[in-house]
Parts: sequence; structure tokens; C-alpha cells
Amino acid sequence: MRTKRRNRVIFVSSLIASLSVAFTFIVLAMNENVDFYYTPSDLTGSKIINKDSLRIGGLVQEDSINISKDSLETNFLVTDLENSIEVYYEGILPNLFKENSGVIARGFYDYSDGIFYAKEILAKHDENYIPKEVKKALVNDS
Amino acid sequence: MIPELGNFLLIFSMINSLLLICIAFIYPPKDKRFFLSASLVTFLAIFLSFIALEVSFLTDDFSVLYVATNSNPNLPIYYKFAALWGGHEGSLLLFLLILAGWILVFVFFNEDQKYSSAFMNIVLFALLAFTVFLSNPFERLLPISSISGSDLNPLLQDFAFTIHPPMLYVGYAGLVIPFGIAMNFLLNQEKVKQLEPIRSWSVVSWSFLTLGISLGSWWAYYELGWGGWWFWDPVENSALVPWLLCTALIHSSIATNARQIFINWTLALTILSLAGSLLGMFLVRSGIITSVHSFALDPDRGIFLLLICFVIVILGFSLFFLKSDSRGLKTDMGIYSKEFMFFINNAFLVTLSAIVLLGTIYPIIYEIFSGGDQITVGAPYFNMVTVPFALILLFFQAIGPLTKWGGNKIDNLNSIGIIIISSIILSYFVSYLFFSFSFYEFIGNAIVLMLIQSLAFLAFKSFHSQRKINFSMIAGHLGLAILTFGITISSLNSVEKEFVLQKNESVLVGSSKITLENTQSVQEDNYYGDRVTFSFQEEDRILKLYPERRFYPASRMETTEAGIYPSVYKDVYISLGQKIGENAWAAKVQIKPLVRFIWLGAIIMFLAGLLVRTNFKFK
Repeated sequence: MRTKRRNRVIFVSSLIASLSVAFTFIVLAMNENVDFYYTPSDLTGSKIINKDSLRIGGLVQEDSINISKDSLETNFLVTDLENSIEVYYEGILPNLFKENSGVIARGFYDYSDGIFYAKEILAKHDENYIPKEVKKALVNDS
Repeated sequence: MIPELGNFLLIFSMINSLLLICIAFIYPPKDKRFFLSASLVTFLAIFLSFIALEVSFLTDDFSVLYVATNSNPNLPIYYKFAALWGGHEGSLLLFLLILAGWILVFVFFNEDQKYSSAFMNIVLFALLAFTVFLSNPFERLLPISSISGSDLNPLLQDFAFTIHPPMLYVGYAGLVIPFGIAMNFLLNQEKVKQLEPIRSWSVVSWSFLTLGISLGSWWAYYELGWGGWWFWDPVENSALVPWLLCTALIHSSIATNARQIFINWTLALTILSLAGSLLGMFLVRSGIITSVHSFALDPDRGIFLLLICFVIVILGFSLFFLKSDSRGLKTDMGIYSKEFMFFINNAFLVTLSAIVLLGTIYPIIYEIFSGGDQITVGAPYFNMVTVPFALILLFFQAIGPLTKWGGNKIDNLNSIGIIIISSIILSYFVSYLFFSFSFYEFIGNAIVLMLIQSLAFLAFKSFHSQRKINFSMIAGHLGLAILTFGITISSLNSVEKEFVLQKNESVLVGSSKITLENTQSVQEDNYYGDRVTFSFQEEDRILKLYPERRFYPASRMETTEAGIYPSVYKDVYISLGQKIGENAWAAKVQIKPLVRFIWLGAIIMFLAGLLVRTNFKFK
């Protein structure tokens, strides 16, 4: 009887131990790989956001796309209709990337030159997709 | 007229299904013929209503709102047919058809399962009501505003897409059967033997889930034009979670059948896996997540789906806590016994599904609790957390089948030792000789080799002792080994490069030379665009690849068609980026060794699952 109880104590405590190890591991992994989402206004505002990796979203401003003729470099402005931010990206642009369309860029914001260096550009599958903040801004405007 | 008829039939089937539930609980009929005929009527009504919607699609009846938003007169006839499940309402109807079909098949094959089909009908009824009242595909668009209709999303105009949702739905809907069996067992507990059919039914569901998920992955690989086969997209995750739970359920029910253990656990898993598949539907359909699968619904309808999911979970678990006893809880598992291996299997599978689910819904939870701050959980999280768990699970998958029920010492100790050591040595050479040696590559290959050796050993043993060979299990596990091999090699040895090329200009990728030869324009009924010819020169061989960029005017959408040269050893994959100037293109090339093994493994798993009832005997 006593050994049985001891076995159960060992079993339960090892279960708790392994669960908490797994949980810590998961939380750590999650914290490292979560990207926060900001609007151009958040970044140009007074609060300084220092993160290695974040996402910005908005519309690609009209007449702002500047594609290099012999490399993969692109510059364009992302706007939430209040403020806009210059984005620099080197790579292939997604299919639905165009003026006045929703776009999300992942990368980091350099406060010294005011440029957002994107590692990844996402445009949504859906032609009608507009980022939430922009939708809000559009509704407020009209 | 035809849409109204379809609508009427749908309402009729809903009432019929409700009647079956009431009669089954109030006045349980002794005769199975009652359930059989009621299920048949429900199924036929839904089937005819499905046909009615199909007719509206094929005759371009754009007075039906759903047809107008998902079809177009210029669409090839095959896609018109498949466009039925290209949107939210139609795909629900397809799901209902499959669900009713499963219930009918179950009632036909099973004898004394009093309440099972009633419980299955509760799920069916809830979804029918949801369809009829909140997502009716037969809703008219009056007065007719568009004569031409908008279009089926161009990304979905594709063969794999047309069979991907039905296969996935067969898997999802099949999970209602284990749930029904478990609920019936809880209500009138007679013998544990009643739970026996759970195994076969869940294996069949699992097969179709496997097929559906891998078709989706294959589709994403060649159609989205990014060359990845898994993106940890919320939609993929919400199919993976029920798959993992269903895998756990299969193993748990094997243990229940063989040793009458884990009974409560099996019962709980039937509820969880059904809840997982309904939650998946909610996540996909609610529009909380924007992706190619979500149909920008208004959130209210999504919430109703969530509600259905909650009701079923609450119903299931309240019955579970009221009625289940501690039967099968007292198990003395020796650490070397097969029981313990099954325990490990289930613990890890359920943990894995929890990890994936957490990462998927964390952004939603965070947004609610932080007052609107948005975050995304990146693919690195999923890779970092799932890979170690999956590797440990695979390690035990190699050892588990060699252990014995109730064993107190390691059975086959020598064989296990030899398998582990030889796998490590072999993996070292394989990884070193053929691929770029790395830690994960070494571990991955070692585990694949262990799996294959252990299965070969098992097959050889049953052949030698002339026992029955569990062909389905061996083939299924072998499929997973092949899939793991494909994942390991293709994710660690792929080469990719992005570049800009003028006409007749070349670029070197590894030891291969890629040249842009020319650009042609293409024109089809439903799209137009550019086709670029690339040549890929590798030693003496020259391959041609033809990636395209298409524009679909009806939905004003641009897509990339990747140029793929598939082969068993490796795929060459080119996708076009932006057009730069008259004859120059930005493009991305990827060379992916053994990527086909991923889907080959999945197909073997699917076929193996279908053979669940066959155990061959040598002689």
C-alpha cells in the first residue's frame, strides 16, 4: 500500500515537473516569436518602440512605389491616412502588392533615418482586404 | 423554382433530423430499421438540395446570391461544379451532405447502438439549423443586380482545390461517429466491447483527414507560388489539431480494446476531437482570420458556430462527468510495457495539439485582453516547439511496437539496442555522404532509420512465427517515416535565390545555370497574362520551366503560377515576381530535394488507414 502511494506521488510530481518545463519552454518560445502590429501613426508618435521585429500595416500610398530597374530593391510609403512611413525592402513583392491596397510589412524601424527596413512584405490573398486600422480611419473620414 | 425546392428540402431534412432525435430519446425504438429509414430520408433530402444548388451553378442562375458571388459564365464547367464549395454557405452544405452520409453508413453497419445515431443527429441538426437560418445558400438576390456574377477566387480554380475540401470534410465529419458511440456508451453502459468500433471509424476519418490536409499542402505548394508546403497558417493549424487528436484517439482506443484501459481517456478524446474539428470550422469560417479560406463573414454567424461547438463540448463532458466511473483507471503500467508506450503516445500527441492550438488562438486572446493590440505568432514558434516534441514522439513510435502488453522488462531488448545503434551509425554516414551534415539532419535521419528497421523487424517476426501481420499499422507508420524523411531532407537542404534577369541573361544557383529565354503573353477565357520561359542547366541536362503571372479580370486578381520541374530526387521551382521593364523579371528559384516524399508518405498513410480492417496472415 505504501509503495503504491509512493509510486503515485512520484508519478504526479514528475508529471507536474515535466508539464511546467514544457510550459516554460512554450512561453519562452512564444515571447521570442511574437510580432506586435503597429500603424504608421504609432511609429511616428512620441512613444519610442524598440523591437527587433514588428509589423506595420496600412495602405500603399499612391505614386510612392519606387522599384529599382536592375535589383530587387523597392521603396514605398505605407500610410494609415494620417501618417506615413517609408519602407525599404529587397526581395520579391507579393502578387497583390499595389497602390492603394492593404499591405503588411515585417521588419524593424530605424529611428535614426526614419525608414522601416522590411524583411517580409505580405499582401493579403483577398482583393478586398483592408487592414483593420485603415478601415477604421476610412470610416472616421467619411 | 429549383432553389426554392432546394431550400425546402433542407428545411425538411432539418425537421426530420430533429424528429429522429426526439423519438430516439423519448421512445427508443427497438428496431434498427427506424434509424435506417430516418437517416436515409435525411440524407436523400440533403442530397437533392445539394443537387438543386449544383443545378443553379451549372445553369448560371445568378438570381441566387451565393451563385452570383462565387461563379461566372466564363468559368470552365468543371469549376462551375466545384465552385459550389468555393464559399461559406456551399461548403457548409457539402459538409452537411457528408455528415448525413456518414450517419447513414454508420446506422447501416452497426447493430445495437441505441442512442449513437441520435447524438450524431444533434450535431447534424445544429449545423442544419445554422445553415438554414444563418447561412442559407439558396438566398435570392432580387432584383438581379449583376448579370455576369463575380468569380470563383482564382486561387481556387485548380484541381487540388476541388477535391481538397471534400476529402477534409469526410475526415472532419467522420469524427462524429466515435462521438456518437462514446455518448451511447455513457448513457447505457453495458460492456466496454461497445466501444470497439471507435477504432475503425476513427482510423477511416483519420485517413481522410490525412489526405485532405496533404492535398491542401500540395495545393499551397504549387498554387500560392511561394514553394512552401506548410506555413503554420491558422487554417492549416486548425486542421492539424483535430488530426493530432484523432491520432491520439486511434491509439487510445486500441489500448481500450486490447486491455480495457484508458476507457475514460478514449471517451474524452472522442469529444475533444469532434470539438477540435468544429472549432477548426469556426476559426476558418468566422472571418476572425483572414486567409484564402475565410470568407469575410459577419462575426455574428461565426459566434453561432462557436456556440454549437461549446454546446457539444458541454453536452459531451457533462454526460462524461455524470456517467463515467473509475473503470479502467487502475492500471499498473510497467515502464517497459506497451501500456506505457501508449500513454507516452497520447500524452505527446495531446500536448502537441495544445501547443499548436495555443499558438493559433493566442493572437485572438491577446487582442481581447490587451484592448485591441494585435500580434502574430510566427512560424519560428511552431517550429521551435513542435519539432522537439515530434522527434521524441517518433523515437517512441519506433520502440513502442516492439514492446509487450503488461511487460515488466524490456522485451526484444537486444533488437531494440541493435536498431538504435545501427540507426545512429547509418544516419551518420547517410547524412555525411549525401547531404549537408547538421545536427537536426543527423537526428532526423537516425529516427527515420529506426522507424523503418523497427517496422521491418516487426514484419519479419510475424512472418517468421506465422502470426497475423498488422498490415495497416505497419504501412501507416512507414508512411509517416517517409514523410518525416521528406521533411528532414527538404527543409534542411533546399537552396533558394532571388534575382532580376534580363532576356538571355543567366544566373548561377549552386552549380546550376538559370537563363531567362523569352516572355510570351497568354490569353484564356477566364484570365490573361505573361508566360516566361526559363532554362535550367545542370551538368548536361537542360530543363525548361514556364512560370506565369496571370490576371483574372472578373475578380481583378493577380496570381503567380510557379514553374515546377518535379522529380523524385528534387523539385526545381521558379516563381515570378514583379515585371521590371520590357523583358526583365524579378524571380525566385528554389531547389528542393526529396520534397515529393512528404506527399508520398501522406498518401501511403491514407491508403494504410483504409486497410484498417485487413490483417493478413502469412501462409
